[in-house]
Amino acid sequence: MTKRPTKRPVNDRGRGRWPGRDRSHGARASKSLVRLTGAGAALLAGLLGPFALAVAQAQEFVKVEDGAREQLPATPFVGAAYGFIWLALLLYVLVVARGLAGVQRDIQDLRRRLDRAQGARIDVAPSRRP
Amino acid sequence: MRSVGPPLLAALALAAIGFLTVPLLIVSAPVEPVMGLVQKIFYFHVPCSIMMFLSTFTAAGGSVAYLFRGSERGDRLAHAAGELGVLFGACTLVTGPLWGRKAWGVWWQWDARLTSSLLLFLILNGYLLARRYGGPGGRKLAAALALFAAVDVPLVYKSVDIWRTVHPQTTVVKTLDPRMRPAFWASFILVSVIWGILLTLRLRLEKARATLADLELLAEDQLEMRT
Repeated sequence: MTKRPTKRPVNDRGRGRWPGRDRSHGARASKSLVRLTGAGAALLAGLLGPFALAVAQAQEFVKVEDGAREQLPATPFVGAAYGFIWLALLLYVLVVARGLAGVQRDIQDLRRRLDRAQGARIDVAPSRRP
Repeated sequence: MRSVGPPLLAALALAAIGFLTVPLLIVSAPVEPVMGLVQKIFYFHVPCSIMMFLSTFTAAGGSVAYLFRGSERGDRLAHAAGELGVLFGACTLVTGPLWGRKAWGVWWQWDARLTSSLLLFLILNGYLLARRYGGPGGRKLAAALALFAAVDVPLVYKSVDIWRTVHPQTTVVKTLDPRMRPAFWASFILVSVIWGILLTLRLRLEKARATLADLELLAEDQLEMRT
């Protein structure tokens, strides 16, 4: 591995030994500009690289070999479905049974009061209704 | 206690039958190769949707009797069936998205079957709301709504054949694997029995309310006669 000299040798005409290299002020400025641009580009690539890669990945389909595939477990869905049905039906039965008990209690209470007031039972039993 | 006993006993008996026999049949039914285990929601989802249709037709029949013949019994039947339509509609609309999330990858799709089913559910809810908050003419308004709901039922059923949807077509029951049929028909019979018992219970409640209203009128008459 050859080590690059830290100081370039200068020939008698005040120009660098390597062909095509200009050691004038303008040439040094343009070289600095190139270096600056390169550093900026590297910095930009470092910053935007992951983002650009993600965009590129999202726009192409890559076949995964032996990779873990995204799978939703079915058991919670089945359990939730059956649980909801049974809960809804049992809740409805309880609500209706509670309503029925309340109304029948009111009927008996009213009948008792009417009997007491009239002295005789009024026959308005549900079975006699048309 | 006498009035609470039979409904609770019926509910317990049904729960016992349901929890013991039908799940065994559903578990022993083969797993569908494409959708997997989640397809087993089908065994209760479809009977619930059929009961929603049956409830709607019953409510419409009772409403026709009430609208054209003034039948109070028809109105009571329509009210009870309307409530059951909402109950089974809720079961259908909850179990469907649970199935769809796994099978299609989405909870809901605005396709013809799902949208028309939701519309039917909303009309049935409208029926109950009109009865409750519709004022003096609310029962007649609700009866008219029940007729609209009945018109929506064939549309819901045929929507999968008329339009292109993600939902399975109506032929899915006819072409069911023979090993899946016992589970499906057992579930269907169980849900039908539950529907019948719930309708009977709900009618008893309506009848008891009518009796109470009659007694209250009688008590008011007696009070007027005394004064």
